[in-house]
Amino acid sequence: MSKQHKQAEEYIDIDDEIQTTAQQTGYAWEEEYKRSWDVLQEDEDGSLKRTVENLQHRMKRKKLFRDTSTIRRGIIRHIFLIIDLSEAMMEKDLRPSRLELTLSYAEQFILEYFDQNPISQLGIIVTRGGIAEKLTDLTGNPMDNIRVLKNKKNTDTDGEPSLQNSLEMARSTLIHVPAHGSREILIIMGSLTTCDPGDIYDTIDSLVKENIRVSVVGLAAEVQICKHMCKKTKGIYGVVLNEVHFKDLLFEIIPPPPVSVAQSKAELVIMGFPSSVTDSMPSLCACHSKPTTNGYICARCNSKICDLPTDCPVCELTLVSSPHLARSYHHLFPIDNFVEVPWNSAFTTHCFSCQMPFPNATTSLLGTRVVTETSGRYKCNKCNQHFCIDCDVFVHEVIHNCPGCLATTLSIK
Amino acid sequence: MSVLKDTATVNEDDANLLVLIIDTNPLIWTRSAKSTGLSLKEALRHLLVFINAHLALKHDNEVAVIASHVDVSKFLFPIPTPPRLSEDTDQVVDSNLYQRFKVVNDQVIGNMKDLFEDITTLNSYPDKASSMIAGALSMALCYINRIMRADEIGHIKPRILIISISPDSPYQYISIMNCIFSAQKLGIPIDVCKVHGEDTVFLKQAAHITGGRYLKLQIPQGFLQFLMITFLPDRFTRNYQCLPGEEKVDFSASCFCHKKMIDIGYVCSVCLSIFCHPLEQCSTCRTNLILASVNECGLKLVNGIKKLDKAKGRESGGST
Amino acid sequence: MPTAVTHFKTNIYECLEALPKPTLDQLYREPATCLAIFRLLPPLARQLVMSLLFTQPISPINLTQSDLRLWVKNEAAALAKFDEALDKLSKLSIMTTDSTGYIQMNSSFRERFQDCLTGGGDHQSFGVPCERPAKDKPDITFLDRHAMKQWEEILHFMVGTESTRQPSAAVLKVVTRAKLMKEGKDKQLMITNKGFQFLLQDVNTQVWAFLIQYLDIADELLHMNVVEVLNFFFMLGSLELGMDYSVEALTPTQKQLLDDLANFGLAYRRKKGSSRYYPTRLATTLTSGNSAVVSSAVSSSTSTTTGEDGATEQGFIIVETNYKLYAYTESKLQISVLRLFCELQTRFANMVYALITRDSVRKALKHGITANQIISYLTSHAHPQMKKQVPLLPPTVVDQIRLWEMERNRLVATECHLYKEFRNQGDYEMVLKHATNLGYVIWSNARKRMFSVTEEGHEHVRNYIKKKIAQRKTNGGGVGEAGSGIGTPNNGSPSVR
Repeated sequence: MSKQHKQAEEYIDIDDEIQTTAQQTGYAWEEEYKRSWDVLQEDEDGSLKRTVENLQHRMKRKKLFRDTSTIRRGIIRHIFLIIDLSEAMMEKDLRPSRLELTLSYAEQFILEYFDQNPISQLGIIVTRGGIAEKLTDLTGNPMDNIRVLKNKKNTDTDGEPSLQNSLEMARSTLIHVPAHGSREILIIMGSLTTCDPGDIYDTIDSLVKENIRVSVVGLAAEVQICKHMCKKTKGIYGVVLNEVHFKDLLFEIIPPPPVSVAQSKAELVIMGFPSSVTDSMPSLCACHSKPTTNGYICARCNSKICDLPTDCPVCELTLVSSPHLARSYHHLFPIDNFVEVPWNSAFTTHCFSCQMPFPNATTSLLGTRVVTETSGRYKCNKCNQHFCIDCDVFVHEVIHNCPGCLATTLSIK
Repeated sequence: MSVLKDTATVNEDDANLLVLIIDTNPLIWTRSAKSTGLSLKEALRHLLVFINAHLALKHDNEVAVIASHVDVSKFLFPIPTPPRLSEDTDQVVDSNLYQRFKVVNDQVIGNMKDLFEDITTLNSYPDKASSMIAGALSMALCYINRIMRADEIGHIKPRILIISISPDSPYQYISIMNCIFSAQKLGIPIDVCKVHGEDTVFLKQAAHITGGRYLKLQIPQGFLQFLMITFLPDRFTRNYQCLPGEEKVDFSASCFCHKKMIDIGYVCSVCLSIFCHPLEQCSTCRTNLILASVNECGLKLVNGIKKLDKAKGRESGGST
Repeated sequence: MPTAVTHFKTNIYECLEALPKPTLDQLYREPATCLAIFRLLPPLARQLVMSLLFTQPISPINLTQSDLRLWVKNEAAALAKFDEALDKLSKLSIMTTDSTGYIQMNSSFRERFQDCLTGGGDHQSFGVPCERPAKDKPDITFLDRHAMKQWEEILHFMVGTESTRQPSAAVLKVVTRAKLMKEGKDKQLMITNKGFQFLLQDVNTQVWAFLIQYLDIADELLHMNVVEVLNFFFMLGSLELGMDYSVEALTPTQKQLLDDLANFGLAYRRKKGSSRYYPTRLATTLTSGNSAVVSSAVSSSTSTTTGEDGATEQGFIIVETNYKLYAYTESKLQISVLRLFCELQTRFANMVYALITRDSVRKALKHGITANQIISYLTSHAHPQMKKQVPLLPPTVVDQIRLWEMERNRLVATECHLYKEFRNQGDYEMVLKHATNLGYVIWSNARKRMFSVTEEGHEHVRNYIKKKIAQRKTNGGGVGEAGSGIGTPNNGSPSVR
């Protein structure tokens, strides 16, 4: 997630900024024409550095803003990734091609998804030539999913996609998912058409009935039926602008979605915490039937498995280790957004956590025309410590701990 | 997927950044000094030599030192505002000590003194038994993040070493785990040296998950020697070295209700609390719970199998 | 850059390895020297030293080589590294295996290195600072400029740029002795092929190469003690840039040395008799092997020390896949170095635009510069913008430069002996078969009845022929005029393959 952030940093498209603001007000052609170069203003030395810094700052901030209210989230997720493999995917408007970019992003998506949702499951369905094909069933193992995507035979393109067929295929598996887990479908769609055997509205209605959330990332242009479907099922619909934006849209799906209390039933799930074993002699594992020396023993049926988390292939018990559960805790206890510190209360000299010196208030106030708009300090409302923008981003995106609250006693008391 | 460029592969020419977190809980150090003779002062002497050794390994090796105290965690080195020239160390340059060593040593000692002078009301701490290790870890990660951002070519390889004496503090569990996962994601190994007391389960997991080393100090007099052999090797050298006896790490869970170690537990699907027996209502998040139906069947099945097993066991037990 | 670093290391390394053990022992009396030499060791060796450094006080343990070997993984790569480490340690007599098979650490090294880490002892090996603060202390930019001015003067002199002063006697001696320059027809010093190669190295390597040569003459001509000279070099490497140090604490030899080093640009003194000296960046980065820092100062005189290690500002060359080269430099020196292997096209205020062509590279190759040197020069001076891409240099350019070099290596001359004028085919084939079996034949032609053999095979083949002739004679005139020899060896004509 942060790499994309890095990319964005280097690549600032001012047109983009304008576009997003335009979207809120109305159609682009009704807008007054804005010249992107008006945004850039030279400072008294004739340098653009400050303006660019400001823009960067704003972008970092924008990404950062998140909903931090403690809401119930569907931690145990079941998601089907539907990939369009129609002829339309061979277009080269996204570099190197729609298909290749999709596959490489899908791989990153899967890894990141399992990293953030360790006790969730994911399956892959592809659609081409008017039919849907299930590559993997719902599984908790990221490597299984990535392996099938690496297989060239699985990613040939052909004919037209079938939205309905693939949705029905996903639905038929998802309805058997226990009620405590979320049911989701994510579609990456390059085609503007779909080749369906029946009325897709019926499918959408049944998806709504089954509480299945459908999100679509479109690679070409907005399609009415997708928009309708996402709206009905409370999913997210987005059309990519460029490569970076594609990734942003895709990765938006990764944090667990909030669930309404009515929607999901809370359940007690039985889980096994297997112990690890190291044998001197290799023995066969139950999951791949390969001889291994290291592994875990299912707490219920004593079969040996290679990797956690997974479902026991023999007794279907969910097997996790305690750190896997801990990995999800940060979704449940998010930290508050930091607030910007105005210049008049910016007395701190350096960032609390990384010791980076802050820009000095007095020197910047001297610069009459263009001062940095922000003081570069961000405050945690609980511990009142000041942080720099980089730490702000890092704390919210990676660590999920406020160093200030943890490093001082104020919050504990 | 990380901010840091390629932290996994290490080259011979890479510089190493060592972030040293020293647990300075004065109560436990006093206890340690009584029982083993290793006081904080003594340990600090060893640690300074160790820091010098780290800096000596390569000219561009970097170090940062953070104190994890009872009520605060604080950077001892580097600090953004250089300290006033203190009276006892009047000379800025010492012809008998390499300049870089001197700067680090003086600042660490000076700031450590300040830290202990600031603290006057030891009794008012909420949790005397522990130290702010989660805060120190978070700060260390932020600092590493900053250094890595500045280093465009990915030349600096970071690692963290925790000198731990305090026992685990249960309410730091989530924040410590968060730090561990961030470190794992960024490819930063966390080494842990447990100087005094029982093994810490949290930090043991930290070392295991991030690929660091965990060592419980056996001979307090040989502190420096342990540091030199186990924790000094940089990440390049570790590729070629044998690890000191890999210990088994306990990943089993304990239930929230009785703190009992369990193999199979009941997990609330909303807040992921673990219980050892089915509940009507989750004690953590107050949601009404239903037992998942599929698994119940499984449980019945298994109970059946277990009965069978027992019966078998009895039979075999009887026959032998 | 890595190549440059290793090059420098091996250089000073070889120099140290060549020193006799007593000299090394003397060297290890200075903690600064111990530290500098320690940093030259391979990583595993450094770790071994550190692991064993403090063992003695607790319990004297005796370890054999195989005991130590248990520390490394039982893998071929790891064991190779381990053996290399032990080998280097014993060559520098830091750790040696004694007669009983136990590994022993050099006691003076152990003590001094311990002092170095703990700050013990009173050895003053890290430079004695001045007691009184200097009145007008030169800042770091000034020192950088000074260092570069002095050092570039030497290089300018070598390139033969006009309007350069005649450098000092010491410089002249080093330059001629290292065969970087030699006297031409009109008694004028001319740059040699070796000199050209020297110019392509990064500054740090140049400085070391220079100092090592200096060490040679210091020993022979100036009658200085090698140990003192080396100690002084290593001490300079451990000093802090921008600080002033006292001259009084130096030995007479070192004072004499300081004058020469100030001349090279390694140190700065306000005037000749001044009581303080300032090490420059050239000196303080001596032992770090960090060439980049120094070259940054070369490339842009405006460069400041903003970056933590200056790594952000270095290099000025951008090479494109179309063999165009843009160099952001104003330095005449760098431009004349570029001219060695590029065709300069246009010169702008702060940038030079050049082309890498076959002719220009061949010209450089003729001067004895190798393709690898050109490539490593381009790599180490690459613009930061270039460093972001992988691979750093466009592969087309790198390959082409190598191909141009290979073009010149199509012909290889081999010394050999030609055998010809065999009387009949049978004799020819018999001798040829014998020589082929032994692997001496380089070339043969059955129609002309000629073949050539290698230098070492000549003796053997000739004896064989003589033996055969003798046999025939005893057998009695069966083969007519065999007496005049089966074939005539024709000595010393090189055959060309």
